[in-house]
Amino acid sequence: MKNRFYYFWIVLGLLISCKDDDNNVFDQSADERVAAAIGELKDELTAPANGWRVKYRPENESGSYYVLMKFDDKGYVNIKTDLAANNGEFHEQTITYRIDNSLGLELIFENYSFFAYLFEQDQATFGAEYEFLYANKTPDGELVFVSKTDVGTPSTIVFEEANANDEALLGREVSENLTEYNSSAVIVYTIILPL
Amino acid sequence: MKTKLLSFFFIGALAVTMSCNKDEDPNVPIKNQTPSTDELDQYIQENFVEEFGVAVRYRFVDRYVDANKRVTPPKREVVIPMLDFLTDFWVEPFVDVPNGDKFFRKHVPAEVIFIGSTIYNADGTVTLGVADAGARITLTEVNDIDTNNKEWILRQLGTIYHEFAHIVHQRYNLPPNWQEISPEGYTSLGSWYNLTDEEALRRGFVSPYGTSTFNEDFAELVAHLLFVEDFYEIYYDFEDETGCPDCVERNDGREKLRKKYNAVLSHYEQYTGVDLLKVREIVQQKLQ
Repeated sequence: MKNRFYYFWIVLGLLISCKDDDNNVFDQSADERVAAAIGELKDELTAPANGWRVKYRPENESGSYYVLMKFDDKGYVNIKTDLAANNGEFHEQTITYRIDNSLGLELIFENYSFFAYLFEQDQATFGAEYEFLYANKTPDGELVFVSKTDVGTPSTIVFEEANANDEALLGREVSENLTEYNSSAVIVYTIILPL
Repeated sequence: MKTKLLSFFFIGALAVTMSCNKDEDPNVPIKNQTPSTDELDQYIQENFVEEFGVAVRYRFVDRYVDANKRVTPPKREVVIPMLDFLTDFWVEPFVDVPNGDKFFRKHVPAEVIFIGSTIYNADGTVTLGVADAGARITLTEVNDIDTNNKEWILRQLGTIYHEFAHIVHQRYNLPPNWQEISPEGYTSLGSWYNLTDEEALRRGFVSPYGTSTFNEDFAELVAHLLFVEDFYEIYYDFEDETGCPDCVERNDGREKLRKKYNAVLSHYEQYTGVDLLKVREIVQQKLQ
């Protein structure tokens, strides 16, 4: 009686074991599909001849800045803004960007820029961001992103295709409501031991 | 008997079905990474990755920092000056002393992360430096680089030497009897910042933060020994005690600090062959 169970388990084992071809449910591997998705967004970003125009609001209700961005396929982005802080440091900058994936595609401005400057205001609670999650493309060809780092309701950032003369939009006036941050907080060193 | 035979058969069959195919290559193919043409990447590749096996990360990747903390990336234009600063004040003082070259290469963490701002914690405090298990040192306030600003320099050196010292006790433990030198003086991770420098000194510590744990005590002592110009005057030399009760208390602290000082020096000497006083000498020359 006991022996029959062995046969039962063996037969069951044979019946439910994998097929050889179970490995690739998709045509491509996960890495390849991620690379393809990143490549597609990169193509979108680099496509417009005049780059992109963003009416940027750190928070959905806050005032806005005009931002013009031109992405190239080597990983650099040229950013022009009307933010006059730091003697016009952010009027025009070229930094690197990266399209990465975590839960979805994300666009990251990898070096300090206009976005990081605003992010850092008010002890980094100003509500700006330099890491954008890609949401979708609208029927009008706009690219929609949402903030990755906003606490609470993340703000939406819409990239519209820029026109040749959009630089006229950059008023380049001094933004007076931003004050320099003041770091006089307690200093903490930490060490994380291996588990 | 029959059961035994059957189980052998079963195990054998299992082994056959589960073992690898011959054509399965255990070596995962290395992903093709085209070397970066970016000038900063090339500079880092040449001077840090190939030279010391240290990857310097200046492009922002959010997993380098705890998710509940907020930071900004460094500016592109500060990266090379910052690397030169590291060469000047971290690499050179160690590699230029006997046994130091070997010591530096063997213990240097695999990753150095540059953060532009300080680390803004959710509770309103800021963090200056972080070292993770000897594998990574995170340097903050890189955007504020100013090699004429002694305060900034000393803050960076405090972080670098402090975190580099953690690697030593992680590798070789604390010096023997370290815990017994000033056992009553320790506070805790949550309350050290209520102490003043003076109170820390009376307890036998170089800084309030040093009182938080044995390990921090060690790291703080090494760091202060290297970068504090008046180290001996403040922490080592006894004051005249006549008619000065405060001096007596401070000297009590110095008594303990002298024990720690000797313990640290001989610990480094024994396990790494490096004379920290020689390192200090070079650092102090550069600071002049």
